Amino acid sequence: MIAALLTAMPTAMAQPGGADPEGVIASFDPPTLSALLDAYGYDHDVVDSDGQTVIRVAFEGRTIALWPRACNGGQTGCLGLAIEAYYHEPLSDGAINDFNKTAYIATMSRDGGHAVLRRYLMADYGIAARSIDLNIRTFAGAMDQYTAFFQKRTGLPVVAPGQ
Amino acid sequence: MRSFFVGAALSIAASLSLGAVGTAAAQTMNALSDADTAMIFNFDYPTIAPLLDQYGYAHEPTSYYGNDAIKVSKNQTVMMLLPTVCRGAGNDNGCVGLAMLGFFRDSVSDAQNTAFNNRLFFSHAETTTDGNTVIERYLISDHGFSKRTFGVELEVFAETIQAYGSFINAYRQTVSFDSDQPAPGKIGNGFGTGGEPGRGHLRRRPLEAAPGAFNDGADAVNDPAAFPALVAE
Repeated sequence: MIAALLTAMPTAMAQPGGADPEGVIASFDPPTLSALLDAYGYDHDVVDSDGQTVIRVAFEGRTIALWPRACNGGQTGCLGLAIEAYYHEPLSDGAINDFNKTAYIATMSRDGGHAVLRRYLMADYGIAARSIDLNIRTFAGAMDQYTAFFQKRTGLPVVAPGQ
Repeated sequence: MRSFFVGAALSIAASLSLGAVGTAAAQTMNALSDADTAMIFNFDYPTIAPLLDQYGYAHEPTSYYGNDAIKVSKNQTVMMLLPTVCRGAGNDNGCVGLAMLGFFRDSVSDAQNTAFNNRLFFSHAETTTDGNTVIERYLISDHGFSKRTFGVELEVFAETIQAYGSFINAYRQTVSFDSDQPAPGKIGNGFGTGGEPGRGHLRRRPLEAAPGAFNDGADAVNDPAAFPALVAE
């Protein structure tokens, strides 16, 4: 993650409107996200979950879920985006707190019987499209950080969905 | 893989709908104009100070464990902004990361913080090594950051700080705030200036360190008594 932050240089200029991969997007609507993910070369598919559209991104062995949020009815005008990763085994609340102390970029939490790592983006007045790419890569760094933390705390390998 | 993913998504969806309330409340659909999408490309103080003025925040430069920081306040809410990942000359400008921090003296349990983080995942609350609490949010401007979206970020973060104050009030049998020291069943509200040396320092790069303590000298501590208690759920 740090490498991503240090190496990514500000190259994009604001180009309002549309899903221009070097421009500015006004929402996180699934078609917009899907077009950008295609442009940036991410393997992804769309999953319907209880009427909500979730975009599942496969990135270098990781599975990342993109949840459009704060939608203006239905699946359009979505101004929020929850970036999430799920794990089977949650840590204790104390260990979760310890992990969160080391992670600015994302939040580890627990929902039901599994662990959830999250980051939330907002696009109320636009967000640079390239930020989607950068945030996915940065979030992947946080996932790696969690994997290392989990293994150190438990001595066990992390079991992510699908493994 | 799919079955677990969908199963996880289904069970999490309910909490998401709750968790999104806080952020959605401040988020309204906006048609973008050129003015809306005007960008900043760093979070240096000279860059964001005019925006803080525009959005009605009091602000002043300060230092946080030897790092440049900005103390920002509005109404009863105080936050600290820490520009990070600085690429300019001397590594003190051209900062493309911004850590937003809100401090509370004392803390609730880790389980309660987990519950809060699961409901309002715009940012996260954590207990620091010295038993206090910090609310954190991190912004990235590598490819630019909309000036007006930055205003929404500030507003929602302030709302989150207020929500946390209300949240911890709900878990406390608060009887009074007439002294500045925490005690069982009561959160201290003193804004001392003595400082707490020996807490380490906040390194500039994200993910390597979170603040181990608040800086009393900066007075950047929120008073939960300022926020109405919510009913614990």
